[in-house]
This record gives sequence, structure tokens and C-alpha cells, in this order.
Amino acid sequence: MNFSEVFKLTSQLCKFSPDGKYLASCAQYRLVVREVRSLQVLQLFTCLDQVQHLEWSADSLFILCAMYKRGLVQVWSLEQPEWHCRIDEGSAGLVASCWSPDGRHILNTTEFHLRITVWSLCTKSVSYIKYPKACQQGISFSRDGRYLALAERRDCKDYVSIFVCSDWQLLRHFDTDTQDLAGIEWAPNGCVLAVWDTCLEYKVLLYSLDGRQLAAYCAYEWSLGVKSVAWSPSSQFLAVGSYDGKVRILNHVTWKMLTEFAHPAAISDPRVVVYKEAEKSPRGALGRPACPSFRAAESKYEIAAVPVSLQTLKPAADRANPKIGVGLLAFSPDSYFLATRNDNVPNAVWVWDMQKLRLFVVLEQLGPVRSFQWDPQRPRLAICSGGSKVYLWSPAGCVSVQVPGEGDFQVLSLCWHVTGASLALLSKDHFCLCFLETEDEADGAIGQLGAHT
Amino acid sequence: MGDWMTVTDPGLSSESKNISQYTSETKMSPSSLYLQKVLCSSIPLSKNVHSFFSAFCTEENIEQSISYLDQELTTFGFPSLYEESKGKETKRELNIVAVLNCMNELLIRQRKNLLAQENVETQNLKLGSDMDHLQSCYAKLKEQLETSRREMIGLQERDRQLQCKNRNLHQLLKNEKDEVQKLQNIIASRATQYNHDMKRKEREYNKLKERLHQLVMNKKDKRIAMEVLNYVGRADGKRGSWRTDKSEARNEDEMYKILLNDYEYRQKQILMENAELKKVLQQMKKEMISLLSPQKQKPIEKADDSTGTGISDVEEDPGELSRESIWDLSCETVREQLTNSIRKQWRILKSHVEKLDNQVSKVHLEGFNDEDVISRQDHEEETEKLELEIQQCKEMIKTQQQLLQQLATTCDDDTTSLLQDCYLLEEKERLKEEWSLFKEQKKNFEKERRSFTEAAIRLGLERKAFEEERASWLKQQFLNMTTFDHQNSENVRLFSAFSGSSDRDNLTVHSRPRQKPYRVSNGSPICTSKLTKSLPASPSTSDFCQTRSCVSEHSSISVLNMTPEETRPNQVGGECANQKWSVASRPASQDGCCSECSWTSTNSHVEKDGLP
Repeated sequence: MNFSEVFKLTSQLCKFSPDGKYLASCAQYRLVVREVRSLQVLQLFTCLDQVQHLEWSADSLFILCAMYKRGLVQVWSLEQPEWHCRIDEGSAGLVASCWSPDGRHILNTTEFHLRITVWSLCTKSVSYIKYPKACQQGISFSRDGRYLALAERRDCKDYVSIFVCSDWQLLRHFDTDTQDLAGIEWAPNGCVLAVWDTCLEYKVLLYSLDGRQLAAYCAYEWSLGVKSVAWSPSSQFLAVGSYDGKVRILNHVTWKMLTEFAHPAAISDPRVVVYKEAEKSPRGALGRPACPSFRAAESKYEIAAVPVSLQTLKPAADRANPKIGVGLLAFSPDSYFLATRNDNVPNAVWVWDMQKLRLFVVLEQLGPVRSFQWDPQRPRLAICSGGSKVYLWSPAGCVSVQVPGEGDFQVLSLCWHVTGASLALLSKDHFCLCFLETEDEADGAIGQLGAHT
Repeated sequence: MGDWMTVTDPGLSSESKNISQYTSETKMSPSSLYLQKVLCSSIPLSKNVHSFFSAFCTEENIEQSISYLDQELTTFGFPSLYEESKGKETKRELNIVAVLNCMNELLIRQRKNLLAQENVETQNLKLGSDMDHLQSCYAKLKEQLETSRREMIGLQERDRQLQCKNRNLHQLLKNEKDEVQKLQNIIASRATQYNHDMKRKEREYNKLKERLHQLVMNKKDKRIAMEVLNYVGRADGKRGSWRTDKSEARNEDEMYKILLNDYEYRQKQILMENAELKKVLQQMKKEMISLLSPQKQKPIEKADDSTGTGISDVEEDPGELSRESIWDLSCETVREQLTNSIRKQWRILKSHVEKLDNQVSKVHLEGFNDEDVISRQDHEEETEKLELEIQQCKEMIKTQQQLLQQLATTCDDDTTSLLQDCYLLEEKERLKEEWSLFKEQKKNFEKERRSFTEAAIRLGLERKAFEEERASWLKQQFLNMTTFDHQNSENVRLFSAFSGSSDRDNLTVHSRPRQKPYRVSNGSPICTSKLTKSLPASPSTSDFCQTRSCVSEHSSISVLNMTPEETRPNQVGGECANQKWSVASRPASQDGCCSECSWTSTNSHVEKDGLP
């Protein structure tokens, strides 16, 4: 495991290009594009103001930089550095901006969600979509880039519009049976749209591409409901995390619940492996170092003997958005594992085995888990908890790696390279790359680890 | 309570009456004064006997007394004290015999009376104590009654309290329910109100938004614009198309195509899954049939089982004709048939397995019985052997005693000494012969011992080899297991476990019938079963049988034949203690055996002395 030098960064804006060749990052009003392999600066663009949002087009040719404060979007081309495009939303303001999947249109949401403007880079044409709903996840493109589902609100009722992305033609428009729609998401196969209601009500609705309601699921009433939703990459499962601290898995045939994963603070199942991060203690406590990296790690994982009770957080009941329930959910790329975080057990990551539909591993960190992300290629989970360490878990074992460099590099967020060969670690105003061994080496190393742990 | 008082001997009472009569009559007697005195002091009677008699009868009034007594006695029905007078004038003579008889009679009566009195007194005492006891019982019971009554009252009170509490709780529950209902109503009303408010707010918000939209969007805002250096081509290289009805139709078509593709894909998957399941089902069925069919040939099988298989076979036949096609048919047509036959076969299998279980348990029982028998036989053999040994020893002792006697007697007479010399010579010869025999035996035993040690060594080697083999096999197995990648490892483990268990099952199944013929043919099931039980890792049972017999023989012989060189008088006890283990199971014979052993050892000692 090697680490690059540390580069400057603002607002955690650092993205790998979808083809994996480049890395774009923003420092104040400068956009820097580097080659991933050599980390040499390829292009340097200067924007009009401090960038607040950065996004690669799907074909990795263009980079969008949004400056919401000024209502401005600037687009840069990697192929033609002299080409430039500037979109000004004027007095309408700007709160969100994103690429369409073809990489030739930009969707800008104006302030107060008055409308969405679709700007084309190919023609002069501008399209407007009225009544977009201001919600958690109101826009969803299907994975193949063919369709856009958009949540709308008209006359105090929720609607979903499905657009064909190639010509922005409205394909379907239907109302949803929700009180206050909170989010929508396409299944990876692009045929089913999951719609969920606001947190005040537990309701998950599933719509077919042609607007038919396939199923509705409600686990309970009179309590805070859905907090997070994730599709498995195989489209076979829909995982719904809710405020009651449970994840419910729906199947794609009957859309009924397959199983529910409770997140108890006490783990007593002897089949579950509990990795507990521990401060580095003199070697020999377990007879072996938990981290064989080239630098001595300051923490290591120990296998705790079940039953284990995890640290829980008492949520403030009188505040909005209480810290309870399953707030983070992610399926591994092969759909074999599901990683979750229960917000009132902030230090733990649960990894569930989706083949046996049971808890597989629990990782208890020393600090609260900020985010985690699966390697796009393998069942390998990278976790960061706001400290100077990055944690990797695979079925073979897990490691804690100290990020080298002077000063404290607090990893607030991370993102994987598309091949899983490297990992960008983002702190408040710096970032660095972490190169993992090539596949064979990595497998060997992990295998070794597995033998250790 | 007064009943017991009345229970008195009627004879006694009548007697007492008699006595009273008698006393009343005595008043007429001349010495009634004395008599009264006597009656008053009746308890110290024995003391005053002399004085009483002397007082009653004096020199002067003998006649009177006699006549008085006679009168008295006659009234009581005694014969007269006087002799029958022949004439009226003649003075009546005192009949001494009658007097004595009367006295005797009186004494007897007196004794009887005393006895009766004693009896009555003891009965009285008994009854008194009985009464005391009953009174105490009565008091106790009364107390108990009181306490239980009090307890009952307490319990009733508690019950009442609990009921009261329960009522209160019910009331509380009802109140709570009402509260919940009220709260739910409040929540519902609040929710509707909230929704209403929300809608109102949203409408206002929408109005504002609309207004804003008009203000911001409709006015030509110069700033809302896009500056592009030059328009770029589309990613697919095509030109943008106009939105027309045609394009709309095309979009619809495409959407349905996508949906259709998805459904087709899913159908294909389901079909594949179905086919797989069908395959499994078929395989299961086949295996069931193959598993169950060999049983049919067994004549022992139960009638219902055979009919069951027969039916299933009958049902099989049409399927057999078009086996391939039957699986291609939609499930609905075949389902019933298939499930029925599977269910039937499953039932058969189940019953079969149950039967097997029963058999196994039976075999277990039999096995235990066998073991019992074996041990008994073993014991019997052992006892026989020991008895034989004892017999031999006894004989030897007898001859030795004879020899000693002969030796002792020879000292007396010269002629006899001469004879004795001859005897001695003869004896010497015989002893020599015996000595050589012993030596030969010893040699044989040595040989045997050597062979046994060799066998033991061989056995050790064999075991070692087996251990090595097993270790290597385990290693290989483990390596095989570890070569699988992680995701499969669980399955593999499962599979291996399954196969392992099946192997074990096979083993047990095979080993059982193998044992049976062995027992029958060998005719000595003692060693095999015992050994296989105690040493599961034995290379071969027959080898062990040999070695074991060798061991037993050797041990018994070595104990018996303590060579003279080895035995010392002070070691005898130790030897005996050592020997105990072999006879420990028979405590009755133990002592005898021990004594015998000591006998033999001392004997041998003597023998050694006697030898040149």
C-alpha cells in the first residue's frame, strides 16, 4: 500500500473520471486535472469563483464546475482546453447542477425549485421542466442513461415524470400514492423505480417503467419511517433502512420482505466475527501485528469474543433528524454483501452476508464512521471515520492503515478508482491517493492477512 | 366419656355385692366389732393376719366361732363344717377335711379377687392415660382449627384486596386505553390539521412560486444565457431529432421493448431455476427408487411397504414411456402425479429409515447382551483354568507332604532308613525329572514371552504406521479444503461434512454385517467385540485376538509359575497383591486363590531347599 503526496483541495471536490484515467480536483477557483497513473497535472482551469460542485461527464470529456452562489456553471473540455462554456442562471439562482447521462446536456435546478433548465451543448435549445420537487433525491437517471425519473409536486400531490433522455420527451407521468415523496431511485436494470415517502411515514412504492404500480410496502405505522434505500447491483434486492434501526430486504419477484436485519447493540451470535479497533498496544497481546503496512499503525483490529456489546448513542428525542436508524447502506458490487451503519451505533459498520441473509461481520471503530464505499471490482470495503486512518475490510480480514505524512490527515471522505487499484482520501483541505497493490499482490496480502486474523 | 367407667366386670361387681352382703350379715356375728375393725383396716391385712385371727377366735369361743363360720359358709353354699350327725342329740363334730377344703377354696377366691382387682386398676390407669391423650389431641385440634380459621380469614382478606387491586388496575387500564384512544384521535386530528395546513401553506407557496416565476422568468432576463465557444457534437454522432409523434411512438416502442426484454430475461431465469429443480427432483426420485427397490427382493419386508413400492412402480410405467417429454410438459399436468409419487416414495423411505433405526436400537441391545454373555463365558473359562491350577497345586502339595512324612519316618528305623534311602533315591530321580520338566516349561514360557513382546512391538509399529497414514490423509483432506476459494469454502465444508457423515454411515452399515459372520464362524465372539470396542484403531481383529489370547495365557502362567529364583518369602504378599487383578471380578474365589498362590510359592521355596 503506497500513498501519494498530499495535494490541496477545497470543499472535498475531488473526482476520478469515469474512464479512470484522470483525476479532477478543485482548490478554491482552480480546477486541476491530473493523470491518475503519474499524478502529473494535465490541465489547469481557472473558474470565475470558488467551485461548489464538480462533476465529470459520463464520457470523461467534460468537467462541470458549479458556483451556486453566483448562479454560474462553467464547463471545461479535456480534449480542447481552449473550449469553454459558461451558463448563467441569472436572477433565477442555482441550487443544483448535474450532467445528463449522454454528457451533452446539463440540468440546472433554480432556486426555490422553480424549474429545471436543460441546457444542451450540441444545440442552442433550452428545455424547461416545471414543478420539480424539492426533496432528498428527486432526480434519478436509469443506469443505461436512457431515462430520467423526476419527482414533481403539483397541487399538493406528488407525481413522477419519466423522460426519455435522448430528446427530453415526456414518456410517462403518474401520481404516486405518497404523502410527501422523499426520494426516487431506478433499479440498476432500469425497469423498476423505487419511490419512498417522507420519514414521517414508512412507505415504499415500486413502479414499473410504464408507470404501473408494482407493489407498495409498509412495515409499520405511526413512527418515523424510511431513512435510506439501496438497490443491489443485481436488481434482486431492495434494501430499506429505517428509523427503527432495521434494514428490510425486499425481493424482486413478489416485492415482499425477505428478511429484516436488526442492528442490536449486543451481538451474541457466535458465527458473527466482531473486529474491534484497538489502540496500538505492545505486540504480543495477540501475538501478531494486525497491520503489516510499511509504517507502524497506531491502531489494529482485534477479534472480540462474542457476546459483544457495542457503544450506543442516546439520541436527542426533542430535535429534528434524530441520530437513530440506518442512515448508510451499500451493496458490494457482486451483491454478496451489504454494509450498513446504524446512526445510534455510530462506531460500527455491519456487513451482512446476502447469500445466507445473516450478519457476517461487525467492525467497531474507535471513532464514528463518516463514510464507507465498496471497491467497484471486488468485495472490499473502505471505511473512514474522520481520523488519520483508512480501514479496509474484505472477507479475508481487515486492516487499519495510517495515512502517512506530517500533520494530521483527517480522512473525511473517500472514493475508489473505477478499477479498485487506488483510493482517493479526502480531508478538509487536502487529498491524497492511496495505491493498493495490483490484484495478485493485493490478493496475496489480503490472503496473508486473512491467515493472520 | 363416662362410658368407660361402666365397662366393669359384671362378675366382679356381683362379687363385691356379695361382699357387701356378707359384711352386712356379719353385723349379727358376735365378733362383729372385730370384723368391722378388720374391714376398716383391710389394706394392711397381711400384717394383721395373726392379730386378726387371734382376735376373732379365742380359747373361749371356739365353738361359737366354728358354728358362726359354718353358718356363714353354708350361706355361701359351702358344705357344712360339721360332720353329718347321725342323731339329733349327738354333738356335731368338726369335719377337718371340709374345713381345709373350705379354707383352700377361700384362699383361691381371695387370690382371684386380688388378681381381678389388679387388672381393674391397671385398666383404670390405662384408660386414664388414654383419656389424657385424647384430651390433649382434642385441644391440639381445636387450636389447629382456630389457626386455620384465622388463616382463611387472612386469605379472604387478601383475596378481597387483590380483587380490589384488580378492579383498580382494570379501571386504570381502561383509563389508559381511553387515553390512548384519545391521543390517537388527537394525533389523527393533528395529522389532518397538519396536512390541511401544509396544503394551505403549499398552495400559498405555489402561488408565490408562480408569481416569482412570472416575475423572474417571463421578464427577458438577459443574464440567463449560455456562452459556448462552439457547439459540440453529440456523443453518438447523430444529429438531434425533432420531437414528433413518430418519435414519441418510437420511445414507447423502445420502452416496451426494454420491459419485454426484462420480463423475458426473468422468465428465462425462472425457467432455468425450474429446470434445475426438476432435475434435482428427478434425481431424488431415481435415487429413492434405487434405494428402495433392492428391499423389495427381501422376503422379510413388510407387506404394506411392498405394496407401496408396487403402486409407485405402476405409476412409474407411463412416465417411463416418455420420460423426456414428461419434464417438458408444463408443471400443472404432471405436478399432481409427480408430487404424489414423490410423497409416496418419501413415506416409504421414512418408514424404512424408521425401521432401520429400530433395528439399530435392537442391535445395540443385542450387542449389550452379547457382551454380557461374553464376559460370563470369559469368567467361566478363567475359573475353570484357575480351578485346574488349584487342583495341580493341591496334588503337588500332597506329594510334597508325603515326601516329608516319609523323610520324617525314615529317621526312626534303620531298615526303613534303608528303604527310605531307596525311596530318597527314587524321589531324587523323580525330582530331577520334575526339575527338568520345569526347566523345559520355563524355557517354553520364555519363548512365549519373547513372541508376545515381538507381537507387541509389531503392533506398536503398525499403529505408528496407521497414525502416520491417518495424519497424511488428514493433511491432504485439509489441503483439499483450503485450496477452494473463500466463497466456496462454506459450501465445500458443508459438502465435505455431508460426505463425511455419509461415509461414516456407510462404514457403520458395512461393519455390522461384517461382524456377524465373523462371530458365527469363529465361534468365539469374546475377543473380537471387546477388542473392537476398546481399540478402534486396531489393524485387524484376528491379530488382536491372537495377541490377546497370548497375553492372557502369559499372564496367568507367569503368575502361576513363579520360578524359585524369583520368589523370596517376603515377596509373596506382593505377588499375591499383583495377582489380585486377574481375579478381582470374583471376590468369592479371591481369597482361596490367594492362599493357593501363597501355598505354591512357599512350596516352591521348600522345593528349592530340597533340591541339591
